[in-house]
Amino acid sequence: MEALWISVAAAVAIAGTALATSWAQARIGSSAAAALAEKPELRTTAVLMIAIPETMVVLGFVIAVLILLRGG
Amino acid sequence: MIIEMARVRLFGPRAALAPTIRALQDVGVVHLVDTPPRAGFEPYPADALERRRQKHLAHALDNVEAAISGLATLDAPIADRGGAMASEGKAAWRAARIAAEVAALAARERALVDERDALRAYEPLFADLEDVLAVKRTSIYLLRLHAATGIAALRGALEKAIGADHELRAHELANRDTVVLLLVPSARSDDIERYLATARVERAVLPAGLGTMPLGEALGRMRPRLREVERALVVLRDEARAIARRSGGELAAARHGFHDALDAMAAETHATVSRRVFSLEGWIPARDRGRLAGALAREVTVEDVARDEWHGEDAPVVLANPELFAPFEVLTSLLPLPRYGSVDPTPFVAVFFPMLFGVVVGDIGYGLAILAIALVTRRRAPKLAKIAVAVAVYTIAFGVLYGELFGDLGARLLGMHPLWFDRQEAVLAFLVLAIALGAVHLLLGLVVAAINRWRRDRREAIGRGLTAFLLVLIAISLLALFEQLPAVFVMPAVIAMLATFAVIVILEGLTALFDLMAILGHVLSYARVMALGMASVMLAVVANRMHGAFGSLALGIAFALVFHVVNFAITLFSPTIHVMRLHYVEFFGTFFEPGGGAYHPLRHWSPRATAT
Repeated sequence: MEALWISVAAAVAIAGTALATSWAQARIGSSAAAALAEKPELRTTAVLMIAIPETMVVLGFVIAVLILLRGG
Repeated sequence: MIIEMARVRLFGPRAALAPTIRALQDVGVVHLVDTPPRAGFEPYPADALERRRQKHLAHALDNVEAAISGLATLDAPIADRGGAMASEGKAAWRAARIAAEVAALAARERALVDERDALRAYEPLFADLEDVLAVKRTSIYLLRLHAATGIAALRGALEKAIGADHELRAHELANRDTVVLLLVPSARSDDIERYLATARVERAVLPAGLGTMPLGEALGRMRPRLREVERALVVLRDEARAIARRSGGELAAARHGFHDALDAMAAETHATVSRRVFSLEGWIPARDRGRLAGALAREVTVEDVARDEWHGEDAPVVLANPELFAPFEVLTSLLPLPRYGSVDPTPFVAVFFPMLFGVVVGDIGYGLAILAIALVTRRRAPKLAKIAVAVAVYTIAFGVLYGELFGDLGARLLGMHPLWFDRQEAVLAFLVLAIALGAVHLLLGLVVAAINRWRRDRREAIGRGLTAFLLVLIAISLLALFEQLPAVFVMPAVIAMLATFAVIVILEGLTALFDLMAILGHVLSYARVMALGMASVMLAVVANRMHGAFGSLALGIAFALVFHVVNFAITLFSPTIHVMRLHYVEFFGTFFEPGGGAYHPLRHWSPRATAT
């Protein structure tokens, strides 16, 4: 039973942050696409902006790994 | 690195302004700026004669560019050769003549190409035409349908209108329209005319030049006319090549000459003049100071503008890095130039970008694949190829340390063992490595910022230095807490942390707290190195396990190969983006100061200068 809850906790850690990241990237991505249509020179900024929310899922992944390692 | 610039002021007799500007073009190192006003001097006034000359030159240059681009479209490009231009007036007159000649050729070419394309559209008909035209007492109609499905309907309608006394030959054209040859006895032509008019069937339009002939005659002329047009196009392009051979050098020289003359006139507007003296100011790389003085006439004086008369942020920025680092300017050039007097991040990127990429991918097989790509692209994209070689070397090196060759294939087939740690097993060790790399990377950035700002802003420099020190103390405390250092370090490190933090708050205010949190967040952000690395190795391992998952060995190997290719593509893209982001957001955030202006020295025109 404990193993189940450990797995669920790790899954929640990664799923929650992945959803948050995807929501943020969807918003930033559509805005970036609109901005790039007007100003192509913003491409670097656009890529950076899109990459920024990925920190959330990366940290979620790390927490999930730590939960699994500690729990296991 | 950002090379040292000097601001210089030139004085000379007013009459020597134009020769001085020509000399500056020859040297090609002075980035001119508007000369600040001073007593007795006024902005250089362009008189009506000069304005007329400028207009005349611009018009002549338009003619030259039109002639050159016209020749290029006629498959007769000219080589960019320098050389002396004839006098401005003669060169302008010749340019106008050649431009008119090329424009006439281009117009003829457009008409011929249009006619050729129109004739070629009917090429599918040509095979049918000979026997169709041989039939006597037959009326021919050429119809056009926009959908192939219309033929059945047309056939049905004709059956109803005139019975079986007709023949339809349909051909699909290149544009997917269908052209239909309708043959009917001449006696039924009135019925057909009536039907076509009431049914509103579209008649095919014949190419220009044939449209005025009777249809039968025009159809017969189509094939020979196509050959004529094609021959005429060959002759026309030969004429264009003859013009390019005859006048190419003249046009190229005129293009350089007119551009240079217009640039020189624009440069004059930066000058200020008194009744007898001109003054010009600009930036030059400090190392070229001697070259400049040697290139100017004796009556022109070059003096350095005192350092307290200019601001560092006004100076244009020239990056000059050793050959090993220079290709990485491609990556730093994606961001604005660093401000003059700040630090060029290129050398740091050259060291850390390939290293972090290697830590993420760390696979001998993928490293060799990247090396192969670098070798293939070395001629087409030499800078990117050099970056790829550096990336491949680190990828192979970390592949050896992790014992990975296409994931665990090396371990399974060749018995490879990791020299450092196995990424599949030692997840925590990999995480610690990633975060430690982040801490070192940001520590370096903070130290660079502290050293760079020491002269300009001691307070900020001390703040950056103390933040770096705080980072070290946090690392010591954590190492001691996790028993990697003796426990005796914990208390002194914590006390030093609190004291350092208090000093930082005094120096920078409460915002220092947010800065510190941001830097700690940035350190943790390097965990992505571990996350991506884990994903990369796990995908490779999954690819290797596929051969047993499909029942068929061949199918399994094929899927495994496809999976490796996909993983390799992801490997090329994702770590590049993330490692770039770690540099641009986390690392550059510690010391990078954007806002440098580009260096555009007055020099002789070249097509490359226009392209950039």
